[in-house]
Amino acid sequence: MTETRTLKLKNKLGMHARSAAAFVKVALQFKAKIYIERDGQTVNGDSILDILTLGCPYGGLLTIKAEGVDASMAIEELEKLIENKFGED
Amino acid sequence: MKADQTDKTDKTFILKGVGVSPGVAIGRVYRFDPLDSKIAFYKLKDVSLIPQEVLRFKKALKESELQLLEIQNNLKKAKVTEPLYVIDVHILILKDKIFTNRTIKYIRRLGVNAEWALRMTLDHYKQIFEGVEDAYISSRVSDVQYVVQRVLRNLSGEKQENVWETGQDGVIIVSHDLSPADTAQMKLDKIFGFATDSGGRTSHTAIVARSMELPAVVGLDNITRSVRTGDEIIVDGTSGLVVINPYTDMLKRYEEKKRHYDTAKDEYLKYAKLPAVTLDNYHIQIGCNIEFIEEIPSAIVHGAENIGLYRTEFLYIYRDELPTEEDHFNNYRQVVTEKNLSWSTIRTFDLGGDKFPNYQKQSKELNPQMGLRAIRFCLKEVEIFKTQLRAIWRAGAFGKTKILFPMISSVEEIREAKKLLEETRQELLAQGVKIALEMEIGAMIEVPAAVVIADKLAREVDFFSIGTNDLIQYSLAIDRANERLTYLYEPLHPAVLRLIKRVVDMAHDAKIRTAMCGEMAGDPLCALILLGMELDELSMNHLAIPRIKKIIRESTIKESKILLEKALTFNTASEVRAYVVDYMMGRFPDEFQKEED
Repeated sequence: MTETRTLKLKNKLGMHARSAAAFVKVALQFKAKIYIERDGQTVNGDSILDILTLGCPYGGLLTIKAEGVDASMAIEELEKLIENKFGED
Repeated sequence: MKADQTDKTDKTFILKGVGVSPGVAIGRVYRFDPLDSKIAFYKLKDVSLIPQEVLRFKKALKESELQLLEIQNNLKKAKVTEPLYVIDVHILILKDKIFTNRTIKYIRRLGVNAEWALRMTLDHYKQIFEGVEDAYISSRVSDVQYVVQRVLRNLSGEKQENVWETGQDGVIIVSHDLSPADTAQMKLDKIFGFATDSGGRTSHTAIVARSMELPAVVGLDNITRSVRTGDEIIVDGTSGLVVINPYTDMLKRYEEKKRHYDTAKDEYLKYAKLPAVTLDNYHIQIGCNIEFIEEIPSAIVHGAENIGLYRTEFLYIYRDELPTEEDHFNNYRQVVTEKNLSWSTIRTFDLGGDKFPNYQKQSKELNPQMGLRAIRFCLKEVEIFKTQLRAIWRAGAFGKTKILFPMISSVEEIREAKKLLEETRQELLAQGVKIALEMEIGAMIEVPAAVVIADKLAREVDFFSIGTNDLIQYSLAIDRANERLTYLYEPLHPAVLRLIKRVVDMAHDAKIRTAMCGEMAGDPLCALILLGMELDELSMNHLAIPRIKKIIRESTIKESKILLEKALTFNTASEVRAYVVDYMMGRFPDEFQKEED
């Protein structure tokens, strides 16, 4: 099962250390493989260093892909996290 | 080992850094984190050793993770909110498969030991992070470095707290730099002082040292390369000097200096708790300026009766992300609940856009001191501002809190700030959140225009707080950072004295109080001049308090008024200074002779 969703980063600081950590923590809870794509570059959603070095600023668009049995649940949770601005602001 | 000892020929040498916590410490060096010199890099003798090496690496990863979890737990118990997520980030790096697999790949393909492989991984990430445009993300490479160091330490099998466990006393920590996680695992009662390669007045080392009242010198560049554990060392946090292997005479001199400093400190502290009341019964409140919660205990020991200025900028600066309302609240609550303080004045943040990651790329200001900062920035970035205001209201429910708005230059600004303050109050009440019943509102008087309209501003607020550093800089039109102009920076300039007097007089006409929170407030030379103006409160750094109190207790409001009146008759700043110095030296010979040595 594969799920894809494109989202906009709404927290003021974009994907910084704290938000990246929050993302990875959620991604690690699922069996599905998580990927993040931005500007044609794809990285692993469970790698904090990959996510950080991807450099996603405020307002940037991200495409999240999940592959695996719980893909849709994983996408739901990650979307929630991003929509809630990682609990910041 | 033996070679090591004969090697140590006790050659005395001195390094100059930045003294960030005063006093003299004499002890033995403990090189914290002496990794780089000890790491062994080698190729594995045989491919058959590879699986074992990979296992060794994985074990070190696991150990590192457990240690970080433990540190995190301890910090949680201590209710420190700041570095917790940083430790989260470190743990997630340890768990980052791309990071670990790369290291394992190096071990397998190149047949190198885990240390070497890890170093190669670090170099790889250094390159990648360097390529990231965003300066904040780019600097996160320090997190990777930190994690690698910890894993390396575990690979070397070195037990971490060995020096603390030996029960050795009186060590002076020499390190490249110290992070909250480092100091969290130290037994601070065994430490006499700190000396580090990097850092400044606001680095973590400096803050810890000041709050523990331990001498510290930072910014020594490469002290870690020049000393070894066990070397005799003197740290003079007052002058910023560090002496390694002092010769006998020098050691004696410093022991004398240390005794002198400690006695003087004890002597002052004896009177620190007494109120600042003149012989003819004029009472002036003495507050302390702080930036960090950790400074409160020493503020109280030194005799602070309230926090006259709590600077909140650090909440924004020492992190990559905007502080949440909870971050603010947790800090403020700890300040205002301190039982030994009558109140705490929280100054809303005085920052310009350059300190906010989101604004970094916007046009650079030619003159940021006069740019979009402090209240101006707040009124523009209303949401960032309101987050702080909400937290201040909430903290106010737990202890007496006053709010102070910086850099006010017009009545509109103070009205707008008050409007937002009221808005947040209504919002919080509607949400049923517990908040302060009332709050005194103050305006910082640091722009000359505010002095001119002080009578109008006085009708808008409950108190004034004069920020002399900026007021002097703006009214005399001198850039404090410009070294060629420092000779013009003169608190006793007749214009400055008139400005201050006007503020106090206008405030008193409107029946509101006036405080002073600039450096001038803690300058013993100016104490009687300020007393003569009948300021209601002086707020200063904690070390200045005992001396100011002592001077005030030995003087009268009557003589202060006469001194002020006389000072105001002079035409030039140098005449004022000469007269005041002469008077103070004659009146307090003990106090002002001490100043010279």
